[in-house]
Amino acid sequence: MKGDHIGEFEELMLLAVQALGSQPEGAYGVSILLLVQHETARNISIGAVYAALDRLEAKTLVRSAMTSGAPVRGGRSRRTFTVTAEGTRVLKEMRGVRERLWQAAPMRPARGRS
Amino acid sequence: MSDPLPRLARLVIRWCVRKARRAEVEGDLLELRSLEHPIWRDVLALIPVRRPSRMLVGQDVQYALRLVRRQPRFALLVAGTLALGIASSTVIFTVCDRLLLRPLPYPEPERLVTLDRVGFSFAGGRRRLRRCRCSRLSGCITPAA
Repeated sequence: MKGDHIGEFEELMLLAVQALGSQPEGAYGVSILLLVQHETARNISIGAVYAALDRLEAKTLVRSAMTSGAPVRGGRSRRTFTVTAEGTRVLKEMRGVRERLWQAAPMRPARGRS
Repeated sequence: MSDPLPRLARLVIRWCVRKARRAEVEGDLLELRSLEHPIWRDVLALIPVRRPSRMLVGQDVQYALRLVRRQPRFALLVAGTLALGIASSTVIFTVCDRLLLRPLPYPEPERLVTLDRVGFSFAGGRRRLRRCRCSRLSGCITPAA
């Protein structure tokens, strides 16, 4: 394991799980996929979502549980994810790193070509 | 209840997804399809690319599968071009084999000979052949006049 380090895509997945945690249906494959696709305008496959969530679960940053199915899913169960305390700590740490870096590198107005 | 997934998608799930997770994956794909989300790219993405890595050409196969997953339309175009090329070569070879390489449908075809320049016309050539009565020729085939 690479310690607490997570990649950009894993960070997106972790944030999506955190964001969807307050929703009634929770964070599961389809809801995470749709949220990240909508927010990043990237074409993401469900397989990539599963792989990233598996890695996050192996790093104990998320935990999963099976819940009952819905008619739209043909009665099939869904795996819902929640962020663990460790995951929340990693997210806060990454946010802190980014904020410190942004403060160290303030954006200057772009120079136009004349 | 929603419509079942296409047969090919179910086969991919059966081959590539662990049994414990099949219901979850099928449910997610059904839900995506109900949202009119194209699922074929997702189905292709379920095919693991690490499985052939033990082979000598594992990395090449891995890379090829990854490209197929990323650009399925281009892969289909390449496969179609290859199929067309192979099919046309097969047709040409089959025609040449039947017309030029295989023996003619006569008994003892190795004894057949072709006589050339025996006459100005086919009819004239047949008359000359009949006249010559060569004992070494056991028969004569000429095109119908």
